[in-house]
Amino acid sequence: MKTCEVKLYNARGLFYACQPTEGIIKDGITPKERTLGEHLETPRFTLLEVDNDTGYILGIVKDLRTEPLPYKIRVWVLAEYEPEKL
Amino acid sequence: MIREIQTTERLNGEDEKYFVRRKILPAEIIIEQMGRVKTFRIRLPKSVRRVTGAMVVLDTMVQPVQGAPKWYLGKGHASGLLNSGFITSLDSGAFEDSLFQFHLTAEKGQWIYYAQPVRMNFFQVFDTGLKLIKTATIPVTDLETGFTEDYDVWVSDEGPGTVDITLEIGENK
Repeated sequence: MKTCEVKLYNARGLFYACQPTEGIIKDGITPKERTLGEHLETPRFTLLEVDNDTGYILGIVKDLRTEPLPYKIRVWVLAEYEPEKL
Repeated sequence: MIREIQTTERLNGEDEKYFVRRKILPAEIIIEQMGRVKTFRIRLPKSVRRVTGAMVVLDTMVQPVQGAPKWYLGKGHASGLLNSGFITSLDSGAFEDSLFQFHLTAEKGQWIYYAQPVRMNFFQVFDTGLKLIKTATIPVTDLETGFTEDYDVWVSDEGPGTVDITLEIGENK
């Protein structure tokens, strides 16, 4: 099913693009999955260093005219802080 | 916040432990027109070092369904408060009977408002001396169902004092 195309950018360029049914769970995220960051990663995603960037992730959603309207696209970005030495 | 302790082995065989914090940053985009392109942005907290994952989910939206008709009654401090937000802030109830009785006090600087869906039959006011004038027809969105429909709104004169209102839902004339 092609619903829409989602692209995410940072200051350096495109780092993630997908249709919302690629490698993801269609019917939402369970509390357990919200807790486990590993579940957020997809095959097409690569780690993105964002130090010294603008502080924003920009996104574009383009409807591909296949989904009954209206619908909602939910995006979660998993951000990692600087590790603290123990 | 997702927390994790990572262990790194050094050349001398000793382990170094790091405390890693991750945060999920959400965004929602509603597409309501075919072929539409929408942009959004997610602000990264200042000390974020990198983005380690992203997830995109389709969430189909249920169309609002028309519920049972409601009446709205109450008072306001301006005669022109004719919008959905104000109307739905008034007392409300379902049309479970054809007769309704209310006790209200509206002092100087206050007006009494009554609203009901256009699809309902006409109403009559008895034995109160209260003069309600049909002032407008406006779209009102039900806060429980999200359904929007047109409501007729009646407004009293300013400061009618304490009134007992009896409404009867009768035949549409």
